[in-house]
Amino acid sequence: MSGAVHDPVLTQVIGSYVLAAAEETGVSLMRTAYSTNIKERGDCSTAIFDARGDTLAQASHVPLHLASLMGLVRRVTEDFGREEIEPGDVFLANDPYQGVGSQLNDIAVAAPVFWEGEIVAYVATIAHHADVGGRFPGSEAAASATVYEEGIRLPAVRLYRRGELQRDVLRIIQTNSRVPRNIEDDMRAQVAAVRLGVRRMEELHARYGHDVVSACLGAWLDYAETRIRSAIDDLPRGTYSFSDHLEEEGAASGPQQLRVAITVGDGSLTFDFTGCPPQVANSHNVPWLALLATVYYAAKVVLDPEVPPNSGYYRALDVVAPEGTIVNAAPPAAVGTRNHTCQKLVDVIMGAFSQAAPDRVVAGCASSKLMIVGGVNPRTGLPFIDYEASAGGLGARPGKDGLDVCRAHMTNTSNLPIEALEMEDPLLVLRYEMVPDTGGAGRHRGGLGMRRDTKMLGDRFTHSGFAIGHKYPGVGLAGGRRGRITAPSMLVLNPGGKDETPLDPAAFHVLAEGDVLSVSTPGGGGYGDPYERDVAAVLQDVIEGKVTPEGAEADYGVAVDAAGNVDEERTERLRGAARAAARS
Amino acid sequence: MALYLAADIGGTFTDFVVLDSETGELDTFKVFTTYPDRSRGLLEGVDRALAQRSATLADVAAFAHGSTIATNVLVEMRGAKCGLITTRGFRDLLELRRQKRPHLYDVRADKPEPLVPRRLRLEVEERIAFDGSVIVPLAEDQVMAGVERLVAEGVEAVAVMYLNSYANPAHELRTRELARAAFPHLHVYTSADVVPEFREFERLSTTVVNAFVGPPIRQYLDNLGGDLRRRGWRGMPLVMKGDGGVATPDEAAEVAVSTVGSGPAGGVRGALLAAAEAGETRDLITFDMGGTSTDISLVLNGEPVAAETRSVGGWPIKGRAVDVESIGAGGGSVAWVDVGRLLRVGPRSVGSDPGPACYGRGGTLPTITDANVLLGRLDSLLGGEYPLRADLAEEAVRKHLADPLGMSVEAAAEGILAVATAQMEQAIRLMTVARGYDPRDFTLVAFGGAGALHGPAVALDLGIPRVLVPDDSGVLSARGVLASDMTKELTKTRLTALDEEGWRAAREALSELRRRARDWALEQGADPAGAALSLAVDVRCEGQNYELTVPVPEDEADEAVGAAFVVAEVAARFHRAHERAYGYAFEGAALECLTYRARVSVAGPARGRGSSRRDAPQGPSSAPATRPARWQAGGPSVASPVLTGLAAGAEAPGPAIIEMPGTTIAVWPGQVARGMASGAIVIERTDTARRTA
Repeated sequence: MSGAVHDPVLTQVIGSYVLAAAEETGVSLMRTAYSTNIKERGDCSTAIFDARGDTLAQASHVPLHLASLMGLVRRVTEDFGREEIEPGDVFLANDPYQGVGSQLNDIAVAAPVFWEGEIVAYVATIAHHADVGGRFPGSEAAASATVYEEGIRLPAVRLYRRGELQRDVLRIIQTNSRVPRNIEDDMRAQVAAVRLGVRRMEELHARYGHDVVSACLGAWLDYAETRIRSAIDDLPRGTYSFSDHLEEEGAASGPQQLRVAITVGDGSLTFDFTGCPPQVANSHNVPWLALLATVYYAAKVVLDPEVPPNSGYYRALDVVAPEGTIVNAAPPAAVGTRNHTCQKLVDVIMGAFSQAAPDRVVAGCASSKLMIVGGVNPRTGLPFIDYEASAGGLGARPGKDGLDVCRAHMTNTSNLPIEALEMEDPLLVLRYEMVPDTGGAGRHRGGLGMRRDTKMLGDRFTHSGFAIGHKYPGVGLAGGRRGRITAPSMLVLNPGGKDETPLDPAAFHVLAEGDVLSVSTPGGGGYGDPYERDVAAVLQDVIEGKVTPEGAEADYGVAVDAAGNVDEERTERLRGAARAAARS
Repeated sequence: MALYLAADIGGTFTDFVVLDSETGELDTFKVFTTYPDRSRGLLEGVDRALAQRSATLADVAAFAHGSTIATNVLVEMRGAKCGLITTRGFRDLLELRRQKRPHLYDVRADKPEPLVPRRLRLEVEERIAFDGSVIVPLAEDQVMAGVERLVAEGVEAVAVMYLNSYANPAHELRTRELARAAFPHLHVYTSADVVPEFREFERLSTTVVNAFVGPPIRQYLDNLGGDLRRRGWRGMPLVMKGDGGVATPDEAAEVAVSTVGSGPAGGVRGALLAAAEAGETRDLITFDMGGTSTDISLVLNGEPVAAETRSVGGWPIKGRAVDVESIGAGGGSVAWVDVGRLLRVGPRSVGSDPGPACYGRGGTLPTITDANVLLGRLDSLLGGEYPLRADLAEEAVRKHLADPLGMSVEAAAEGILAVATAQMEQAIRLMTVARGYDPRDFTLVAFGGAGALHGPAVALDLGIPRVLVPDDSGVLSARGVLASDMTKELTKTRLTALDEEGWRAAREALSELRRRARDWALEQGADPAGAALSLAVDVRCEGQNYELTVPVPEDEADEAVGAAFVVAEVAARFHRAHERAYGYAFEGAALECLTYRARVSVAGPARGRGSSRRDAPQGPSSAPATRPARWQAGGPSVASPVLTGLAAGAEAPGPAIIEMPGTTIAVWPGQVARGMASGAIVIERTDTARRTA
C-alpha cells in the first residue's frame, strides 16, 4: 500500500490499535505506580510517536498533559545521534525549558521502537512525581520565584542503556528528592509501561509490516486533521476576543488580565495571546507546552470531543504568544502552579468561542482549592501529609445547567474517600456538602460549589496550598453571572465559632488541636439572562435547596412564598422591573 | 418423576431447560418474554415444560431462573421512590461522587440523575470513627422524625448509610429497627447489610441502587411465588445472581442489586458446564455474541473471574460478580462512515426489529450480519428456517459504505468484519494480556447467536488454539442457571498490618465470617460440613489505596496454625499476584489487610444430576452442499462445504460452514472442526506455528 491510498478499514483498525496501545500503557502505569498521585489520581499520561516525533496517539488522564510529551522525542533525536540510540535504551527528561513537560515534577520517559534495524516509533510516558527537590516540599509551591527553586532540571539523559539501568542517573534524581523511594518505584512503573507500549508496536509491525503501518498511521493523522478542519469550517469567519482576571493572592502584583483573540481562518484557527501580562514572580507562569495543551484541550471540547488525540488535529491550530509573558514563560520563571493559569485560560478561550460557536461552550469553571495538611500523627508518631483538592461548580452550558462540584478542564482527578482518609490520617471530616446560591445565576445556572469542614485531631498541624477562583470565580456567558462563594473566604478557621477567622487560602497556617478548617469553593458561571430562567426551574432549585428563596428573588426575580409556591404576581413585578431597567 | 427447571428471561425470549432426573433427558425451548409482567411468560414456559413431560407441578423438584429486571429497572429509571437517611453533613455525597466529571472532553455530558432527590436525603446527628468507636451517639428522635417525613412524602424504600458503618453498624441497624417498628411495610436497606466495606461513595451508591431496584424485584418475586403456590407448588423459585450463584427469593429481594448481570453470569456458568462435558481442562475465554453486543469473560481454574466493583447506569456497584467486558459489537451493530471517512462499526444497533437489512423486515442499514451474508458465511437463520436476503444486504452496504468510500461491496463487507474483529480482539487483550495472561493458553467458548460465526476468526488472530461451540448455545445461560450452586458473599473491612500481631485480629475477622457462613448454610437447609467455603483478604502495600484479593485456605485461618507462617504465605501470594498483574513485586514492602471475604456455596438442587442424556449428535443430513464464500481479504470466493452438523469424531477442515439450530459456525482455512461426544463442536488450528497477536 502506498501512503496516498486511503484505506478506510485498515486505517481505522491500525489507528484504533495504536490508541488502544497508548491507553493500555496508561492503565499499566496507573496500576503499577507506587504513589497515590499517579495510581489513584491518575496524574500521568502516555503517548506513542512516529520516528519524526509526531504524536500518533495519546492517552491522557489529565488534559494538561496533552502536549507535554511532544518535545521529548525531538529532544532525544537532537541531542543524540541516530547511531547512538540502540534497542533497549530508555531516555528521561523533565525540563519545560527544553521542551519536555510543563513543570519539573512531571518526569517524562521515552523508548524507541525498532523494526528491522530502524527506529519506527517512540513510546513515552509522563508522570507527576511527588517531590523532585527544590525549596518547598512537593516542589510545586506558588511561592517559588524562579525555576531553580522548583527542583532538579533534567535534560534528555539515558536511564537505560541497551536494557541496563544506569543507576548513577537514578541516584542523582533520588538524592534530590524528599521521597527517594517513590521516585524509584514510580520510575520503574513508567519504564515497565513504556516497554509494554514498545511490545505492542512491535506486534503491530510484525502483523502488517512497516509499509502498511506507516501508511495507515499517516492516514490516521490526516483523518484527525480532516475532522477538525471540517468542524472549523462550520464556524463563522472572524476574530473573537475575550478576557478575564486571574487573581494573584499573596503576590505583590494585582490581578492579571488574561486575553485571547481567536481567528477563524480557512480550515484553521489562530489563538493569539498577545496582550497577556509579562511573566510573574511566582509559579503561575505557563510554559509553552502547557499553553499548547490548554489550546488543544479547549479546541477538542468545542470542535470535536471525539477526535483522536494526535498531531493531525494539532496541525489546524496555530498559537501565538510572545515569549516572556505569563502564557509563554522564559527562563528563569517558575512554572510549578501553571495549572492555576491554564484553567483560567480555558475559561477565556470558551468566552471567545461563545461568540463563534455558542452552543458548544461551557461558562466559566476555573475554581478549586488545594488544601495540604501535614504534621505528626499522634496515633503513630509518624509524619503525615494529606493532599485534598476540592472542586468548584462547572459553568452552565447553553440549554443545560452546569454540573455541581466537578473537576474542571485541565485536570480530572478523583478525591480520596473520607473513610480512607480518616483511617490513615488524624483528621475528621465534619461536613461535605453543596452550598446553595453559589451557582452563577443565568437562564442556565452554574453548578454549585461545595463546603468541606475538617477537624484537626492533633496539635501543630500546618496548612499550605493554593486556590483558584477566590476573587474571580467562573465567569458567566451571554448575560449569565459569575459563580460565587457565600463563605467569607475559600478558607475559614473555626466557622460558626466565636473565633471564626477567614484565612488566606493560599497561605501557610499553623493549627491547633481541635481546629476546624472549612474549605468553600465557588460555583460555576451562569449562561444567559437569569431573568429568563424558567420559573419552574427556579422553583425546583428552591425545593431541592440549590437556591434559597432569597437567592431566587435576588438573582432570578422569582418570589417563592413560605409554603413553597411561586408568588406569580410578585414575580411578574420583579421581572418586569428588571426588564424595564434593562431597556432604559 | 423429578423435574429440574431453569429459565433465563432475556429481552426477546425466555429460554427454558428442563431436566428429567430419572431419564436424564433434557428439553430446551424458548417462549416470548412478556411485558410488563415477565412472570406471565415464565409461567407459560413452566406450563409448556410440564405438558411436554406430561407432568404436574408436584413433579418439579426445583426451579431457578435469571432475569434482567434489576438492570432494566435501573437503566429505565423505573425503580422505587426512595429516601436516604445519612450522617449529618453528608447528604450530598450521592451527587458529589468522587468529584470526577463524567467525560474528559464532552462538556455536555451529565452525571447520572441521583436516584434519591436532594429533598428526600435527610441527615441525622450521629458519627462513628474509623475504628468503630462512637463519637456522636445516634439521635433517635431525628431518625423517627426523618422516617415519618419520608413516609409522608410517599417514599417506598429507605436507604440508610452512615460514615464508617463498615467498622460499626450499630447506628444503621438501630435506625432500621426504629423505622420498621413504626412502619412495618416500609422497605429499609442498610449499607452494613448490603455491602459492609469501606469507601463511602461506592457503599452509598450500592445501597441506594439496592433500595431503588429492591421493591420492584420483591414485588415480582412475590407475584411469581404466589402464583406457583396457588397452583400447589411447595418449592421456592430460586434466583440467579451476578456472581454466578443462585439465591432464595427472599435473599434476592433483600440484596436485589446482587441480581444485576445474572444473564451473562448464567452464560459463563453454561460455558463452564459445556466445557466440562467436552472434557476441556484449559482455562476459558467465554465469547457471547448476540444482536447488540459481545460479552467476554475469563474462567481460571474452573472459576469465573470476578470483579468486586461494577458500574451500571453510571452507578458503581460493589459486590462480587462475574467480570464481563461488554463491547457494542453484535450481529445487529450498524456499520457507518464517519466524518473523517473511516469505516466504523457500532455501538448503534438495529436490534431484532427492524433488524439487519438482510432480514427483509424494513431495515435499511448495513450491519455485521449483512456482511456475513454478503461474504457467503450466512444465508439463513434457525437452521434454514428463516432465509436471509443477500440483495437487501448488498443494497445497504453499497449505499451506506461502498459507494461513499469508493470501494467494492465485498471489500466493504470484509471491512465491517475486520473492524468488528479488531474491537473484539482488543477487548480480549484487555481481559488477558493486560492482566498478565496469554490468550494462547486458553480455549475460547463461542456462543450466543453470532458467537460461532466470529469466535473462530478472533481465535485465529489471537493465536488461541481451540474454540469450543456448545451444542445448545442458544439456551446456554439457562443451562448455566440450572447447574448453579447457592452462593453467599460475606465481607468485613478491618485495617490490620500483615504481621504476626495483626494476624490475630485477622483471625477474629475470618472466624466471624466463617461463623456467619456456617449459619447461612444452615439456613439453606444444608449441612455446613458439605458447604464449600473460600476465604480471601484484600491486601495492599502500606500507604497505597489499591488492593489485590489474595486467597486464604481455610486451614490457615485456624488458631493452630502459626501466625508467622500464615503471614509469610499471604505475603508471598500477594507478591505473586502483584507480579502477575503488574509485572513486578514490591518485595519487602510493608503490607496491610483491608477487607476480609468469605464466599460460601452449597450444592444447587440440580448439581450432579443429568448430563447423561444426549440425543445422538446429528450427522450431516445429506451430502454436504457447497456455497461460495470469501475467507481472505481481497481473496477469491471459494466453494465452501455447508454442513448441518458434525457427528462425534467426524472432522471438517476449513473452509467450511456448519449450520446448527441456534447458530452458524464458520471454520476458517487453517482450522479444522471436530464433533464431540458431548454434542459440542471443537475447532482447532491445523498449523500451530501461526503468527500470534
